[in-house]
Amino acid sequence: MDPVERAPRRPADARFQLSGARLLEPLRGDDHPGDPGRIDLNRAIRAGRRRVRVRRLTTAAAAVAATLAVIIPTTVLANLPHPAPPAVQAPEPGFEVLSRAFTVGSAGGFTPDRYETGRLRQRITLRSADPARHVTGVITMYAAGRHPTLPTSQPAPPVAGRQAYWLPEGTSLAWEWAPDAWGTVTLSGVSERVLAHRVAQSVLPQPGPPVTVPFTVAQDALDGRYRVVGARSTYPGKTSQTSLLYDTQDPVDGEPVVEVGVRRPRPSADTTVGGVPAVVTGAEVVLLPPGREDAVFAKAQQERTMRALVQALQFNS
Amino acid sequence: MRPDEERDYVAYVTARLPVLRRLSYNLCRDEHRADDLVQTTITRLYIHWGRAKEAGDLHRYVDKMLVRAFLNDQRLGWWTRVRLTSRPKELPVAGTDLETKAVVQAALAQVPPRQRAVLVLRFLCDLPVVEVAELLGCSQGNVKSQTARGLTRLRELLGRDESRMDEEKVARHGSR
Repeated sequence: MDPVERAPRRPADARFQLSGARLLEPLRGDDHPGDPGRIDLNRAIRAGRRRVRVRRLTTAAAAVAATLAVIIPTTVLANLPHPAPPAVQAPEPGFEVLSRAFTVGSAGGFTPDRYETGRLRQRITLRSADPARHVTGVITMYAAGRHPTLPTSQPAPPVAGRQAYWLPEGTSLAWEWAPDAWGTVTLSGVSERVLAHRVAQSVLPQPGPPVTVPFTVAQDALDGRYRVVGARSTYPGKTSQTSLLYDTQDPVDGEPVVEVGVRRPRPSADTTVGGVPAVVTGAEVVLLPPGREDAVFAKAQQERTMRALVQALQFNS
Repeated sequence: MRPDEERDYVAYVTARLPVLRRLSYNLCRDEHRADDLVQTTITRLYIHWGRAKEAGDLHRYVDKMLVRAFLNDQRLGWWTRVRLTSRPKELPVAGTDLETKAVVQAALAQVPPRQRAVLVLRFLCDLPVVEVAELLGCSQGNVKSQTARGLTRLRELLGRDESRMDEEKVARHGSR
């Protein structure tokens, strides 16, 4: 056909609009769940009130602890003519934010792949010990009193002498690793519950040194409300990754809002950010600084935040 | 929360519940999970009611909470996916092409969550790109690229299903 006679091309997004509407047409009109639903407004109000109370109490307790931590040592020092004994610090609830609180061994055909630290929750991702098998698992260890509601209808054999329960969904187990402190393990790709039990037995409470992060991130890259709530680091393997996690509060049941870090191997660049080769997708921005083995990456809700973060990261060495 | 604020909250949620349930169901295509997501959202809304009321557009603020709850649930939501009853997942709706609907629904469920959210918000909820971008907290360009990727993935999945259905038909009836 003569190019002059060819119909004008629609903009790409207009074509997607037509195509998407056509593809999803069969689902149209099926958007009304049957009534009545299971939503309970009174339950939401009760749960909301409870959480507001807990937050107020936590804030008040933290303020009292901080005040006492200042007043008590000051008073003791002022009244003692000789060197004072070490000041007693109010114990911080939960784990050390940047330290691994548990060691995890290889068990049930799984081996630890990645560790995420945090104050209220620490999480270990597992991979198969056999590279040919594609199975995965997640261990989540909650600080005392911070675990979600537990379904306790199916008792499991105790783990390290403490009570345990099978969870109803998938190959999952919950166990009490310390008084009122629970951990869970969920395995994907396997159905033998005994494997989840073996994995749970390999988790030992054993605080380690702080995670070493080979970079710093400029303070002004993020809104002042955000703070470091944890770190992710891989166990030795084919890939390596270390990152810092930021949020406005310590996560318990969700994902941290911002992650920034370094990893290898590097992907291939398809664009540039600030003149540096980069890969930009909806989920993350990856910067490939020349002369480095590591790629710098950032994940956040907004692309401009991710771009700012990768450029704010400085390697320590 | 003061009693008058609580009354406002109850009135707002009661009026908005059907819309939230529809949006939630469109996102996850599972009645039980849809209700769980709405329950989580209205609980969070209670906690942040003061801040939510100050938002320029309260509806959009709440929709955003729901979409985020959906995306978070997709990342690590197994804990909340406990089915409490053993009844069948979905009941068929009369008057529609059930096989096509089931195939499209199954394919959509396999599209990555963020791309799925974009497709649902644009093509089932009929929201413009600018509103989808605001709900997901990303740029309009990002919404468009997620749309393109999501549709490509959906087409791949539907193509695979169509071939599988053809093979099954041949196996059942023999080639003619």
